[in-house]
Amino acid sequence: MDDLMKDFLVETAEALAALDNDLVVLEAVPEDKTLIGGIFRTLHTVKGTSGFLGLPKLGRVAHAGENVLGRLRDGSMVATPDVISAILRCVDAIKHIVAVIETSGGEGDQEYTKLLDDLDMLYNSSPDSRVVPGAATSDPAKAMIDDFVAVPASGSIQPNTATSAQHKTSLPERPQPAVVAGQTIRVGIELLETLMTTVSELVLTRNQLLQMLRTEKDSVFNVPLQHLSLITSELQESVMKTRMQPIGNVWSTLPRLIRDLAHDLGKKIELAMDGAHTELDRQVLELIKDPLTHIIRNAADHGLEQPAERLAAGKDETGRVRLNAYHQGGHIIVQISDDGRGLDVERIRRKAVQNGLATEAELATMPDAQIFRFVLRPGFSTASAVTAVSGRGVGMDVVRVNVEKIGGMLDLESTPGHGACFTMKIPLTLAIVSALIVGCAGTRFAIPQMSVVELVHSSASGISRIQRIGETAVLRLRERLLPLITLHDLLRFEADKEESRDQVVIVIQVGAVRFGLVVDQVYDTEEIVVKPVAPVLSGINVYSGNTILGDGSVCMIIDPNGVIQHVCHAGAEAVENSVLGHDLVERPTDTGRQTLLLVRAGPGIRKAIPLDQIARLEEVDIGQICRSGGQMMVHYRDRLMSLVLASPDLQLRNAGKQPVLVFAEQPAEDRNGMSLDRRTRQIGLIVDEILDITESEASIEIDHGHSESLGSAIVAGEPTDVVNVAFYLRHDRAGTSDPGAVSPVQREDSEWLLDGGRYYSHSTAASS
Amino acid sequence: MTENSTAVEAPLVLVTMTLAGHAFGVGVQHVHDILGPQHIARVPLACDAVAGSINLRGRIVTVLDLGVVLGLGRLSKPDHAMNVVVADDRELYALMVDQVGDVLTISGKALEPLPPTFPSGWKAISNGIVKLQDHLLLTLVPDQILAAIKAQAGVIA
Repeated sequence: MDDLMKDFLVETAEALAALDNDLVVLEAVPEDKTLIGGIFRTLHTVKGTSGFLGLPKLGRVAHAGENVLGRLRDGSMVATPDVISAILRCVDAIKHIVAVIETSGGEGDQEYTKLLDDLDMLYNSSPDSRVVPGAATSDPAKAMIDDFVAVPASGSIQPNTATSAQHKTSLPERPQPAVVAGQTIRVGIELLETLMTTVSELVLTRNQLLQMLRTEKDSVFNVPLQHLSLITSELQESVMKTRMQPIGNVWSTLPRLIRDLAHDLGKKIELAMDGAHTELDRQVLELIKDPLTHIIRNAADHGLEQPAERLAAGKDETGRVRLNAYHQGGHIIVQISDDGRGLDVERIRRKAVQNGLATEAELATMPDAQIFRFVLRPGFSTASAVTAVSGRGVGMDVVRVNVEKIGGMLDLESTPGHGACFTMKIPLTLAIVSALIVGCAGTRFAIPQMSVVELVHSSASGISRIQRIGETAVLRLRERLLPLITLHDLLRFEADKEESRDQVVIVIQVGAVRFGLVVDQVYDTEEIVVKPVAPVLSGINVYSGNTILGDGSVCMIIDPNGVIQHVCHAGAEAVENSVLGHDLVERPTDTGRQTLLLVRAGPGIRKAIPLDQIARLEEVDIGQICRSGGQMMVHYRDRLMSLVLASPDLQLRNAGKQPVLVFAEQPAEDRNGMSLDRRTRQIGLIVDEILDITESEASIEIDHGHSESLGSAIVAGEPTDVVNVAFYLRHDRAGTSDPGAVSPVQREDSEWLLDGGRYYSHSTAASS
Repeated sequence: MTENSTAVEAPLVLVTMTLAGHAFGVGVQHVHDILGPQHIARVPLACDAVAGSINLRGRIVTVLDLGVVLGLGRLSKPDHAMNVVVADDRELYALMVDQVGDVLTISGKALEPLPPTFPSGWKAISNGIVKLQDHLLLTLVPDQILAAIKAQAGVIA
């Protein structure tokens, strides 16, 4: 593709982006001659250039559109919504052709005959039949340009669109394109990136110089260095600015989106935008585009009621969707609010129970605000009917994940009957983050400050002392148990000699998961420039990047998300190993003191099960137990749980309830939430009676060689069989190959996955 | 070097280095920098061949222990190691060796292919042997060293 063509494509794409909004505005003010003139000129330019470059199809489409605009310009036709829709379709067609040219080099096969016919029909229609009183038709759309609407004007680059758009009711002054064009130049992003790295290096070198000269009081270099320092800082700031773009650039596509949504849904929607001039890093801007569109789509589709419903509720017929962006600390806050019906607490409550996210009792104590947040949880959908516009719920957790991916946060609040408000908190830039520098085995690591909740100093004697249960360390923090991950072990450093030294626990929150990372020291917080890791290292998910610290040394950046994934992955492997290894004698002896649940199951001595392997104790109604192919199961929390007898000669009761120990095949619901893996299966072990819980240093004395039991031991003064839980889990897994037994559960799961994928692709496709 | 011979076979300019008593050469066109002993930041969990990272004028460079790459074991004195920084198409890597010697210019004809008895790992990263007066010199191809490590890292990940 030659340069001429490239330039044409870039310029056309830009001009077209502005056209959408111009047309939406025109719909509201059909008599605006300057606006019509501007749109006419853009299409005319496209037509002219396409003729020059030999693109006949593009020329034909642009020509047809230009004809209609010609009629608007000479006043023989009025810009009714129908006319605007036709022109918008024409703009879409041009966009499509341009996109095709960009990818394939040709104009594509599509003929656009219907569009061309429609446009020609409009062009040829008699003046009288088309003239409709302007005021009447433009009324609903007029609302679109109320107080806050940002209207990016004309096709030229205009840095202060947003500010000028704040004028009340009146349209912004259209700038002289020539003046603006002279003030901006096009620079490749790559060049900016290079500039950025070079400046960071300059800053580091300056820091080193400053450090060197700090010891020498009366150096001749002091004054020039001061000067250099100042200039460097200024340079850094300006270079940072080149990467910043007003958030209005992303918002510019929204008026068209809202117009189309209002049209499709038969609602009256007004879009208000505040703070469009708020600047964000280019990269961040790209990444919030999809989440933003999704939330707005949701607000318009589900949040806002139909006009009749609104009137009945005593509200204005026209629903309002409001965007607001502003700086707060080192972050940008973007709020998307609507004045619709708000979220339905009761429905969310029901759904949360249904999906097993919480129990009735838990929900009863929760404030409404907390219940609303279930909407952001994976696999949660309240939409009883999924409309073409959006499938609420399933997409929201994708939105949340995307926002969190860039170190942002998503929250929502809602007042029933008065609307909902989503708040996105996003970092200004991804290039520089504030990080906590920690030490472990003499090496320094950086942890993004964003995910750090608090630091807890732990010593062997103090209140916050790290306690170990088996191999697992936990911390009792304000009466809550905090799972701990030791950085030392995680990074597989050689074992230390002195075990009981002071350590610092960094409490980290990633999404719904909270854990403590144990490190040796905490040094400092520092603003770091994130650099991607070398390809050789990119397979290690524990690091999100690396950086150069102020003193010039290299430091790896720990990715809390990756840490969890890494630990969970390793954990799954360990479980796998123990099941496969099936180490009968050594396991109970080396675990030391264990908490055991004592039960009676069948004739013979009582049985003991390590308590930490049991997820829950339940009682199951005998009548609810159903059988399929020799496998017992029960409907449990909306899922099927398979049941196994704890002893082959155990007799079920004839009626009433039977105690059941519930095991989760994959531990922790948290992890479930992390990986979107809903395949946690529960297995119930039926026993006769639950006796007691005891702590014991059980060591196996007699090994019977049965795989369902680890052997017999003396627990609390009585002989007891220690149950091998792994056997039952594995036993049950073997049972699942029986297609009749568990397939309903699996089918349900695969549907979930499918749904998620579909909504996601739908949401991205529609917003691009 | 006569003009005639350049036309037939371009001369090889090699940066020579020694590691565990062996001599190696890397084409001078691949070499970006030669650094003395550096403060190397450890990168836990990385594959064995990765010794860590260093800061080369604001760029982060991954240091590879050439001894591990070649299966000669870890460098005996990492504190006194020299680093030969080689450039991939986009990334920089430092090869940690015992010593860096002279730059040799040899005729392209002097390069002999590796005898088939060499282990395949060596054959993958070397493109020939040069017979010098008192010892043999193995020429290394940096791109292929990186490819070999990436393949290894891929296996681990």
